[in-house]
Amino acid sequence: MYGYAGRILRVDLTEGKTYTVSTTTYADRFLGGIGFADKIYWDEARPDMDPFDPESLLFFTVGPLTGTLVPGSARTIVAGKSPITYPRPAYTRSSFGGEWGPELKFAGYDCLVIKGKAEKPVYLWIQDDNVEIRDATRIWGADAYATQDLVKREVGDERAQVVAIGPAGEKLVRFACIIHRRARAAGQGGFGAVMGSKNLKAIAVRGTKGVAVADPEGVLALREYVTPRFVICCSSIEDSRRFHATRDHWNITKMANPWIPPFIKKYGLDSRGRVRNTGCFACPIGCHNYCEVPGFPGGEISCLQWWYANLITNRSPLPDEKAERATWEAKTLADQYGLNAYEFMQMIPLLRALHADGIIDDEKTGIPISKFPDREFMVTLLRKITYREGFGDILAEGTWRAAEKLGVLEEHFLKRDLGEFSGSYFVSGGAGGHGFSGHYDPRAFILDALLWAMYSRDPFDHAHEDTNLVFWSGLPFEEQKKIAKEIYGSENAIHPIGKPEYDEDKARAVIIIENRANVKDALTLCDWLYPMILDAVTGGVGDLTVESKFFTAVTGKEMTYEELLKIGERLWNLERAIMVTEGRTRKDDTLPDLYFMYPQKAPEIPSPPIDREKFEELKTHYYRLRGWDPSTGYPTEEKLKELGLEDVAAKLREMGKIG
Amino acid sequence: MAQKILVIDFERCSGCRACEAACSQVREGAVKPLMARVYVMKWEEVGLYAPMLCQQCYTPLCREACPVKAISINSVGAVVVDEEACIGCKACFNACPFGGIHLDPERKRILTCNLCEGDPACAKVCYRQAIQYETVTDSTLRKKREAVKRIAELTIRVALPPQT
Repeated sequence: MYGYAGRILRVDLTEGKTYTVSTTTYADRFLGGIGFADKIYWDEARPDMDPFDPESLLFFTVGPLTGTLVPGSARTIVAGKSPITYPRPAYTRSSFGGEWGPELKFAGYDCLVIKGKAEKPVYLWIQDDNVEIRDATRIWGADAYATQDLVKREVGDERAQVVAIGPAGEKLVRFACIIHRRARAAGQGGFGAVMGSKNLKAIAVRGTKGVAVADPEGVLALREYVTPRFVICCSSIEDSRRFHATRDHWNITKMANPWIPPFIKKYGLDSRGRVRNTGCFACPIGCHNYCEVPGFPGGEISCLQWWYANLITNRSPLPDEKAERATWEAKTLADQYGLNAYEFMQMIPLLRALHADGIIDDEKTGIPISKFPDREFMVTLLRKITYREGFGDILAEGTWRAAEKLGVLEEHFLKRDLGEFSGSYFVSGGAGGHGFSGHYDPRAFILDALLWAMYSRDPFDHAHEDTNLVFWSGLPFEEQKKIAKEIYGSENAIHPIGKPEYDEDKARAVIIIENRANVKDALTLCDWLYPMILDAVTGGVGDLTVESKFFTAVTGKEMTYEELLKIGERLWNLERAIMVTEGRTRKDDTLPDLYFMYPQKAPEIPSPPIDREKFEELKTHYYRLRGWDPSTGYPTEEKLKELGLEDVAAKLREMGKIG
Repeated sequence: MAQKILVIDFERCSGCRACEAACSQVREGAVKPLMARVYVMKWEEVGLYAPMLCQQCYTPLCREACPVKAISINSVGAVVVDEEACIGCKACFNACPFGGIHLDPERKRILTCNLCEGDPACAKVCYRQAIQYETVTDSTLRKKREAVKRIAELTIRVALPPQT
């Protein structure tokens, strides 16, 4: 079988047993990656399962393209019941790049499913067919960087790839993440805590098998074709054109954030004055920069790793070297502790607001909130959360649960615009939705608002295509509309920033984005590169068929863009069914009240509040176009049958939850 | 004709290992880093990535060590093994001071880089140009040009100290 490794590895930590099952049962209908996780989760997981229940399932899953020369194919999807989603734990996903996923393929697996809880701390050592559950008592407590090094030394193979949790995961901090290398993280979802609850400190993989490719020449030719066409990261189209000429400099010349160029020039150049880029397996892009700040471990930095600087400002350069060092220390500490840095984009504004209102103070919390942005504040906050010391024990439950505990959830968080306490203008700086932090402001991007309302977490593992087109592309709106016609079927699919529209073309675009998202996470591909909505060479619309062409070249199976989208739709419906069994209904498909109450005043993206009534109309369009029941948000029997999900329809009918 | 060689610039390497993937895909028909003739050595804690290849020595110690004279230099200057003649004694493996000889444990073969007969896949997929296949003259001129720029910059810095 080309592309696929052919096996799924199942590990039961309670029993101390491992076994494999064939991939072939799932490959045709569920493709790979998130599709395998969705299917196995649907078949086996109890809807009311607590994420920390030993029986809860944790997935690490890759796709048929992973481990090949397809650019951006090194992603690993992590999925399972999340401890951080609010108001209740829900099935969701996260992902990370690097080299771990390809190594899993080289070891001969398309997917790893972990359940059970080890009696004492363990790590998993997967060496081709040899899978060992090994004692991790001696490395328990180590930070996530050290853990990787210690595990590599202990297994005696420096080419092993390791994912690890830090002390935050061990202490079941609800937003603990999983760390790989010196920056790669499965951040959102709190899956580091799920690993911690299973007493699983790390997973090391080393594979000596290969990934067979049906048409190697075809893959290389497509790679040559796509590489110069990618529009990358926060660069404008003009900028990514320059990417070809001055490859090393694209992300320091025109980035939105003014502190990046001086920082990289100071800490991130090689001996000949060139930017040190680092990348995921076989990816030509290399979107991370390697930096070394004296006194701290070196590491990679991309966008999120600037989180602390983002909280200070993104309108002006960092004030001084002290702030630069605090930024780097914050990135390093969050990585080492294994904390999801994005959580702080809502938590720190909330703490500052509560402090300003006199609801909490430095003394009672034991955290010098008044000293923000000094390192003393940040270091104390991160330590207290990681080790659940004092007030940190409350914050370790995540911002939403902590706010609930403090009795400030509604008034001071969900019904309050915390923009003034956030340094960033495009990150809304407060509550986002479903327990996650604000990100691109949904008031400015109505497609994102709907994507967010419908999803189990923040949608920024797939919603970037909207913001890339209407914000980062830098194209005039008239040009954007022409591209929207090609990629969403209607010029009317997008609206000018600040002038929200709520018609059914918007809902149709959202459905296309969601279906494509699942294709991407099934294959598994990078959200920054795919789908290729823009073409950096022509400056116009991108080529949406590259995923299907890559799929055919790698697996040898004929596949069209439309067929892939149909699989994406199947997976989205299956995920909706999972959400429905967990109790999700139409009324949960929403955003915090603040977005309906206040305008976004930032001069870059000024926008009125979302019109609640019109937003509900937009949702109705969405359910109808999805083939779901608009009154409940449940998928209909007809739609599920059309997608070949008869068993799903039967179970939902049994539960009385079918549209 | 000027000889082309694989010129390595460690600092340019992003550690992506596309070279390993391409090498194994071309030579073994599958992306299989274990069988690649190029290895990216990594020191993650300092961010050092170094693609390591056969040096294609003019006087290869592996060839000297081979008891059955199975090793020779091909038309593009690559040190290659005659699989028919090879007895698998691994004397070449031990003789090479660069780790340039690899072994295929499955099919019990000696693996060496043949420079893809003059069109090396590793260099073709390296967009960052950490591995370049170029003539010695081109490489030398490029390095000299870069050095002159550096020296010029340094000279200006020394000659014109920043105004305070």
